Amino acid sequence: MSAAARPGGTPAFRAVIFDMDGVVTRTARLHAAAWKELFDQYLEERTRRGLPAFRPFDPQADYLAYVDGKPRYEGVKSFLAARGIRLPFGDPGDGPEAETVCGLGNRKDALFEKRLRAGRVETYASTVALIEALRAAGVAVAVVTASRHGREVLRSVQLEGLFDAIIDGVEAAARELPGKPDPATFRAAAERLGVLPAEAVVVEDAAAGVLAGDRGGFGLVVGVDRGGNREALMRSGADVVVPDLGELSVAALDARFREQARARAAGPATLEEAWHVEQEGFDPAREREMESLFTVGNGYLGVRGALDTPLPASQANLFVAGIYDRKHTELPYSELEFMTVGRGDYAYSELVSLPFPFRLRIAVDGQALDMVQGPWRSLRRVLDLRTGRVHLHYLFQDEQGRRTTLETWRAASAADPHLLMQEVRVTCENFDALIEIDGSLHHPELAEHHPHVVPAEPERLDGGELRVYDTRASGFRVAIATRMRLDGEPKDAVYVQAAGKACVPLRWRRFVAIYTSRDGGDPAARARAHLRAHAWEDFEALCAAHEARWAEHWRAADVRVGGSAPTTQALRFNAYHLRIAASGDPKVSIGARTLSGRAYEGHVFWDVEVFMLPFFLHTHPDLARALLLYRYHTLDGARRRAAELGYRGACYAWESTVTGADVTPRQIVLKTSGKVIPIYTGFEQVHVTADVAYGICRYVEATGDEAFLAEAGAEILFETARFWTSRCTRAGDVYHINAVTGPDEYHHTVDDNAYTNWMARFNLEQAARAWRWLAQYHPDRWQALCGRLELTEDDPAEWDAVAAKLYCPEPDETRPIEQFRGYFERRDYRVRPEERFHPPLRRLFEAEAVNASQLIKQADVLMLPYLFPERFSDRALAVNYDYYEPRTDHGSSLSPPVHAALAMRLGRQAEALEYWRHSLWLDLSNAMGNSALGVHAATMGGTWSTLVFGFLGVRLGAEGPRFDPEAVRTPPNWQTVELTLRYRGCDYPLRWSREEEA
Amino acid sequence: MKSYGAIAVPLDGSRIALKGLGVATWLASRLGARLHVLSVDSPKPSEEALRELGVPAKYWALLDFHRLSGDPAAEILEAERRYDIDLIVMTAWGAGGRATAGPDREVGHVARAVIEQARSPVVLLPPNYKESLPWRSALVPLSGEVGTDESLAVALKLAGALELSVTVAHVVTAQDSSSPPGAPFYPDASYHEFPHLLNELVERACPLCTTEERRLIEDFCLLHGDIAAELLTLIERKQTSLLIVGWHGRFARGHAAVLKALLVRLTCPVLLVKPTPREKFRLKVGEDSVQESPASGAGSSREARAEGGVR
Repeated sequence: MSAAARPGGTPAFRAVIFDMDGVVTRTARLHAAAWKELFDQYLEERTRRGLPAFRPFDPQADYLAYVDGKPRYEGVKSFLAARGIRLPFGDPGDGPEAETVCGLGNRKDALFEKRLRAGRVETYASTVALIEALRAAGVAVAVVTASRHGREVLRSVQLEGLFDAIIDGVEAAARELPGKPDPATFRAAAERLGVLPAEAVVVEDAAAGVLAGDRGGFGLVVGVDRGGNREALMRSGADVVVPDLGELSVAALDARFREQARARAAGPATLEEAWHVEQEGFDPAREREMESLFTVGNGYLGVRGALDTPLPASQANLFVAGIYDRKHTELPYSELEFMTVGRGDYAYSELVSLPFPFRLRIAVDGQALDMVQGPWRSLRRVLDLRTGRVHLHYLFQDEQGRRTTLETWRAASAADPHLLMQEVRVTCENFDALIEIDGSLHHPELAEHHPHVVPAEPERLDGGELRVYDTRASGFRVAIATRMRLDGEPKDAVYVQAAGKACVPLRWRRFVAIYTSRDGGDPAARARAHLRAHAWEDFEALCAAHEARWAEHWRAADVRVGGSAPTTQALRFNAYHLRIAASGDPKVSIGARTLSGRAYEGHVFWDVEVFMLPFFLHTHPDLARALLLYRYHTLDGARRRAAELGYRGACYAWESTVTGADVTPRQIVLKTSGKVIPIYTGFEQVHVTADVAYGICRYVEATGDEAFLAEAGAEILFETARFWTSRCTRAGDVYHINAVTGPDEYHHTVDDNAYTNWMARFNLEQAARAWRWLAQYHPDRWQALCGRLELTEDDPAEWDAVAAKLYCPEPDETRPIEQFRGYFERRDYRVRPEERFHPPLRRLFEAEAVNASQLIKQADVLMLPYLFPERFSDRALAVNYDYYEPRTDHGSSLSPPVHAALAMRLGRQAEALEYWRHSLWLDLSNAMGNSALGVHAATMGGTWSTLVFGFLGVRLGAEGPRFDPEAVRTPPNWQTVELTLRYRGCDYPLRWSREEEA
Repeated sequence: MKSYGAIAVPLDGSRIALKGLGVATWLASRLGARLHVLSVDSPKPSEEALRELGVPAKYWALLDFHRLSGDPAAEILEAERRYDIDLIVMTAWGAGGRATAGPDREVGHVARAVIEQARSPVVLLPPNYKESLPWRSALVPLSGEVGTDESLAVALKLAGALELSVTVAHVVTAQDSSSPPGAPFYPDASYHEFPHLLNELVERACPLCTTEERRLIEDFCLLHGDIAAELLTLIERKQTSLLIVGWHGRFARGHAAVLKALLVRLTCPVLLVKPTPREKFRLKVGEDSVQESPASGAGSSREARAEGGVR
């Protein structure tokens, strides 16, 4: 017994919820007795009437055979039939005297109730004793039963007072709580007791009840096996099975609970452990979700974390940044339903999924080692955040008990973006066997799984493979070259077989080189040459170079939260994914789901500049610069787009790929219903243009990189400012921006969206400022730019004038900023708890209604105090927060980090922590239900900003980043936070400590 | 997943129950399965009855007759184990007829015990069953719940063997009156999130099925309204031969409401599939103390946590 369970100590659990029948009471016997009384009475009556004599009712055999578990009338009928008696069915309204099936049934009910009232229910003394001990230890106790007689039964045995809460069949029916195995009734009991399911124990004797406890997330599920049910209880998820509760004292229960809590709260215990994210076990239905989380990459490419031999349904994809193609014609099931109209032929409309470069087939004595066919015993998949590697540990065991372990790891080199490495160890644990390893990257169903590409004729590569793929419409070529070698073999070979000796591991290694036509030159030749350049003797050195780059990353980006290893782990997980999403290639940016999944098709949105950029600014400013240069390289596309829309300057695409053209469709059609859904975001969500300008200003502020401003930033600022002057309309003395969609996408075609207007004003002001700066410090560049862009002194004057007169409601301590003109007049709407955080599909069918309400999708006005905190007093913030927070359903993953920062600033810790947890563990808990489609990079970036500029109150000033002691507010379990921030070319190590603060 | 080597069809001497024999014989011949005819407290059906049912004489010899007596449900379940049955075919009602029908009594008590307790899937012929052989198509409604959606994997195996085309349907329930008015609409969710979500719905339901099996999915329908009503309309429109439904295996009051509503009106058979136990699985992340998981998530994530995910 652990020290924690010392006698007299407070148990770790706060409540125990008991099932009634079979755990506390024994009404089965009572029912049997009532049946016996009924049938014996009735059979006797018949005998008295001169009918043939009958065997009396056997409360054991007859009960089980004819009446147990059946509805009452069915039981009557079934027993009588067995005795050769047929009675008319009658009517459920028949009195107990009626000689009908219903009459007899009703008589039985009356007999049962009489027995109840007579107090003939038996109880399990051991259970009652345990309940009393629990109560004495201060543990709350509830009972849950499906029986409508529940309360009566308990009253009849004077146990009603023993329970702090009783949920019986009457209450369940009234509240429409579904029965077990649905956890609803247990959860209702926990709620009544004021405890979380994880803090409570469930005690059950039925498999369905155990399953309910398990599904409900209860801290411990105890199964009581009254005979022959042990296995079923274990299978349904019981953590402990005992024949009787006499076997469990409060202390023993506490020990089991703590054990279980340790096993379940599987998060890391130390900051060292927090370098790993580990999956244990195998759930095919969650495989695609795991594939997203366990992606490896280096910004140039990303490879989803599929098993070495992927499942048939795996999305075992390789994505290379910038490789897009036309929307593929091979439609998956759902797109039979969702027909997207409006971007069908554009050649760069979606990120191309390329074949998995780590594919392996391993067989032992002809038996494939894979998770579909192989008789597997265990699986662990570990993401080593520190070294950027994914490890897989498989154990297979066949019917003869022959055990084979397979351990693999893989990495996308952080030192060489074109290089992938993989290592495999196969060990026959207790037998000798022939081992075959086939490292061919051939995908037999290429067309189905990778519809954007057509394979070119494979080229010869000695001891390896060189596969070349062409995209169908965009004309990219991708070459994947691989070679591999089994240790001890003299030559490389795609397929090898070797005699495996018991306990002697075989080691096999692979290099993969990847080039595309975007890299210049012939990708096949370059991939081939790249592979040749690496000798097997270099393998360790290449690993070391890779790890050195990761070490560099962590020196810049690691955040250590003393007191919370799980928080540290999640922050590292986020910093890992942000890092592998960014390449430093100025021609590409980061798609909404990075290179880890297909959702959003690799499209780049406003969230790069607003949510992801701050992380890069203060950890890897070179990557931040590349992200902004992407906007410079797509400036021509933005100019074309502005012209198409009838405006001047440059208007960035709402959804952008490689050319800057907008790839947002205009509408979609639902096939089954024929419903047409218009898409407004493409031409209305123009705030993205100002968001880019905002990103440029933040970059220059954080880095002091004036060269960037002069060479690229200023031109973007000028062209975007020009766009705004043409996009604004003047009414009297005031400028307006009409017919837009703000960050809150529930309201389209609105006028003067506060966020859009504020950002446009910022854009205009900063452009005018940059103009003056450029004219003063870089007159040559200034002159050249003016000439090329045909700008005159009138332009900055106009920018200033429009900025000064643009309709921009200012923060006010008495009333909130109106999200757009007329918002306050829309129908009021308050979000219910269950509506928050995820979009029900139903909403597709109820389109326009929302435009008429105040329900909003995400922070919109609240983006302003998030991005411009100094402009809002606490009071003004509170006024806006209190208005908008209850009207927001957080349908966007961008919303929770914003709310976490603002709630914390207002000192509303519980609320802030709820939003924080939602943000921090968004992908690790699959909180949006869509992590299978890729990780949410913007939320990861937003979470980082919330931590640094929100919770820690970091302010940037002449002396570098500093904590604002007035503003620091951290979760109560955090003791220290250590991180390093890059600011204007210097690294500033920062350490916050609760103790020192106190 | 097992192939279908042995099929059982329970008979109780009634004309109603005999209806199962036609389907069962057809299935057994198409699947190359052994057919076990379980005659509970009733004689072996006469050759005349077999002929009337359209069971070709050449199949008679393939039938394994077992005369059972005792509690019918218990006997059928025992026979399921004894003969290693992979599929049971039976009518919703037997000799007892519908005379004892009351609320929630869409199936007789024997059928109910069998569908609740049998390990293997059950082809249940509803009260209004109209025979239409051979089967050509199957409809699989998916709810998004991982456990019950395993029915798709069973459906694809069976469809492959019987050459059925498969339609998958997902019904979005209409907002009930208690829900707030003016539910929101996601302009980009509709083309970025929802199509993928529906794809995931399918992929998650049959992760171990081969590409070839998946190709049997011919159509996907997104419907909106009352689940049973929408499915019945679709069944009629598509002339569906077989409805394949994943369920929790509980027919008690308050459970399987959609299935009950369907059974009353269906004329095609319904294959009932229960979830198989899941392997232990966990992702070792989460909070320090015993606390509820980070957030209330979407259906799938709740499921994920229930299976031992983030705590």
